[in-house]
Amino acid sequence: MRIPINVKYKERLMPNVLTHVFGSRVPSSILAVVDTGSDITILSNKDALQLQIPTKGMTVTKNIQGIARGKLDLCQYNKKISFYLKKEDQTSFKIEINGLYVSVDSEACPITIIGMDLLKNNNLRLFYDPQGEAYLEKLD
Amino acid sequence: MEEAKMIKMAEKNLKFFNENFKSFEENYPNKFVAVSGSKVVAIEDSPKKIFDELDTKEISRSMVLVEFIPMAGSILVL
Repeated sequence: MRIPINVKYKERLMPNVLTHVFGSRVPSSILAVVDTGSDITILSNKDALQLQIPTKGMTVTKNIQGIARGKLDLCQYNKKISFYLKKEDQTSFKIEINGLYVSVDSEACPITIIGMDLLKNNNLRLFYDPQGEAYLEKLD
Repeated sequence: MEEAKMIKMAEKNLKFFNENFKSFEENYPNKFVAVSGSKVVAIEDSPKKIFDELDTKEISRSMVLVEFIPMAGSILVL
């Protein structure tokens, strides 16, 4: 079973997928980048606002150091969230995760990342060809 | 049914966004743009401002795609 992924993300080559999120106060659809360079799944501050996932008053539990000088503060959202992704046959594939990390910095890069934790926990592997084809594949 | 409506709208929003990205890049660099259906419904400097504007206009957050428009030629490294 395969989930097609867009390769040309606004003329960039980051593999991304339209993701429908349920379980938050406001169900919404967001674009998420699949990033094998990230151990964890991170909801951007923008997308947390769209889903009305609160970040004010939450304790920072992790900070991330990237290749730039700045750090990114993250807090942990511990409720169950469901992601729906569209399969090749146009039906939906549901992924449930028991919590994820949320960026508390509104100035940080406004991109939600599907990290290795989500791929690993759902037996998904990424096929990526920068020439155009990419997909997630479910290993049963 | 509401879920199906949301998903259908999201796909329409993404198609419109992709088709108009070049124009957004020229006109709204470093802005957040919200699209719904086949039109731009809000343009703002920050995520908070754009969702405040959507709330003021009584546009459901479930029915919009909100994306940041980078400056043309900028390079993104995660």
